[in-house]
Amino acid sequence: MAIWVNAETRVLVQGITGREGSFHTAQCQAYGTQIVAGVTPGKGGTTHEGIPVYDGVSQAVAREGANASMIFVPPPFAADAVMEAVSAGIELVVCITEGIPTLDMLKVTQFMSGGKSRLIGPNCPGIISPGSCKIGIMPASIHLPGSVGCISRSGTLTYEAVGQLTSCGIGQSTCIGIGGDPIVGTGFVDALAAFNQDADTEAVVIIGEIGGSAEEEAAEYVKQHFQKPVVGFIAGQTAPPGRRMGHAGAIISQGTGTAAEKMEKMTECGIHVLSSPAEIGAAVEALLK
Amino acid sequence: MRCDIVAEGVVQAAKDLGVSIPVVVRLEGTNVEKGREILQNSDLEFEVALGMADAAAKVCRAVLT
Repeated sequence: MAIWVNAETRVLVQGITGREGSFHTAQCQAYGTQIVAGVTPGKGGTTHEGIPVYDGVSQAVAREGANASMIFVPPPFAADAVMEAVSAGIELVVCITEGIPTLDMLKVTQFMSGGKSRLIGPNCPGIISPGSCKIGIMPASIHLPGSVGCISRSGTLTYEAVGQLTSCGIGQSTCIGIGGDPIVGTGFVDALAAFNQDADTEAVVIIGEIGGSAEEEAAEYVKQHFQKPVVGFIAGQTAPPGRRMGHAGAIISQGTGTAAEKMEKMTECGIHVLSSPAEIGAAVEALLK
Repeated sequence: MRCDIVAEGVVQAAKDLGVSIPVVVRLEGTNVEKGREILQNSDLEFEVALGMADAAAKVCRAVLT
């Protein structure tokens, strides 16, 4: 069953004609995702590799029935692109773009508040339900349909976890990259709540990193509500305080947001916490036995 | 980040900087074959690692010898 995306999801690509947009559109299509339209202002009425291109999202929704969007729009315009998709009634907006100003994301959060749309990202690899739908940039070939959910702030560490799981013959229900920015549309708790209800998900892997308190909130949720085993890894055990480690949100500031605190809290709440990312597959395998 | 882009970056950086310390590379993911080819065809000497644990072990060995 998976969560949020499946074989029926109809995806439009904002920024389809750009370098990244066009490459990843082709990759998603090859995987079997239904890419029904593209949006590039000024190129409406043309086609891109056989896909109809529109000037705006609402035209693409009206003509092609798109209900999800994958955004490859550069940082200065990406927040607007998200809000345009939301205004047009897109239910699931996946924003890949890295570098959107935090203040812009505050506006987006405000704009979306109380609405029906879900934003995944920004600065994320996207979401994949293996075997049915990929909206994002993750390498499809390492995935296997199955019953483990993955939620992660790091794209490449998700791929690491997925690669290990697949090589143990353990497949994934849905993998969600929530992104590396300090303000994101979907957090660990949102995804955990959905996995909790998903009959096809038997266990979850959480990959977090230094900065913020999302993992601590996730741990509380797991303790209070979550019914299935959880394996966790936190990146940044040796990160020096005050230095932003790549991701905009990955920074230990004013002494808080350390890996140690997160690992401790997660362990207290019943999450099986690992200190090496190389152990994820084996840990899940042991839990599922 | 696609493997071919990473490989090109590693090769270019090694050239620009004149790398004289051991380099361990582990590549997996999108365009991995292209990435491996770029590394093989370069002048760069490097060790290939299969997984994260293997890569870490190889780095430790290189530092300790």
